[in-house]
Amino acid sequence: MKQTFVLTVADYFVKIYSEENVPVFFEEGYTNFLQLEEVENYDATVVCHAGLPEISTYTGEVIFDAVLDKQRLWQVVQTEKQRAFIVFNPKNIEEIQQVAFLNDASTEWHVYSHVLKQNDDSFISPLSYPLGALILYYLTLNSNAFMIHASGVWDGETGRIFSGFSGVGKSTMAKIWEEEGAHIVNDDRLIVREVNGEYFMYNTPMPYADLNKQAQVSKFYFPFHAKKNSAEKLSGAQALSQLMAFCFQHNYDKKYTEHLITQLERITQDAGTYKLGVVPTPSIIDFIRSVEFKG
Amino acid sequence: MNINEIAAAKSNFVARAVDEELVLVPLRNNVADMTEIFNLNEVGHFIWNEIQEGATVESLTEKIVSEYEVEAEVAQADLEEFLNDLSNFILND
Repeated sequence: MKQTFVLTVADYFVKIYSEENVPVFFEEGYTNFLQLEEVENYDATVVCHAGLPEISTYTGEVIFDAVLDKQRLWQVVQTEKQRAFIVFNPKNIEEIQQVAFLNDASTEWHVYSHVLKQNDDSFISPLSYPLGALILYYLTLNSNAFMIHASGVWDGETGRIFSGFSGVGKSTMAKIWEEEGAHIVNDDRLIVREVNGEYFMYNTPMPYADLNKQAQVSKFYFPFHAKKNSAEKLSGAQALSQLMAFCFQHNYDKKYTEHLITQLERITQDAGTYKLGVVPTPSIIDFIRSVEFKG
Repeated sequence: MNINEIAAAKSNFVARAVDEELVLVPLRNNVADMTEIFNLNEVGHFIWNEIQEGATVESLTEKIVSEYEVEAEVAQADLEEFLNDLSNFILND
């Protein structure tokens, strides 16, 4: 049974292909990011396989370990022949959910997934979290782009990104802007791409369904809770390192780190970057606009 | 603080000059440690470039004094503090 899908995220095109005898299933968040119509050129290909491969094919040196809050999420293993991604089931970390192999150019994935069963139906879910996000992250490494933990809003004239640790008010900021008529691109994770010298932010598939969105972006803010609204413009190394702290980064390979720094160096030269003391009321909107007007 | 240890550990960082400053990003093998990024000012940037195997506090102090208008005693005290901070960061890495 040949199945082909085209995943379109952040203007990337990813061909998802399977010849297995079980259907390919996508989580709800992918609904508006998939199309059946093929395109001429793909940024990456994902070949789907049913069932996990032999252990020996993904045994090797662990070169990157994604452990967050003591929970093991996934590992990158360098085997003799290739780079393997071992992804654990977020609901049962003892269980391997997928094993994926990525070529050196980071353009071709082979994803081996557990065959899942519901009632009498069997299926595979190759992009189940977090592998789908990982595939998107590796796409950014082949282009002028990066992935960031942030909320992004577009008010019809200006795109702004608010980034920082959990709890600093990223989502709150997005809501305040939305209540004033702005559109939220996403309030958690964004891809930022440079296209012909301009920067665009894009949402990515989340656990919930959402439209496929994009907007131009020219301002970055790092909010923190404060007793009164305040802004400090950042530049140079300060702007770069502040932005980098909230980007997705798998710094096990120097070339990935170099790539991210280069992207951030370019964007911080062009876009305004600010630390932002926030009182979470609608007054922050006029405050931000006045800061931008003054430059 | 051991200058040779710092010199040996330099390859575990990606360093990028931005204007006069230097951004230092440690290469990591765990996703949980990604927020430690360090900025060195102009003098720190200069010292980082001069740190290599065999360098001593005395030789680095001489270079700082010849590059910047600063008394040798002041330069050495500041250098030792800087190297201690750098060493602590690298050893904790």
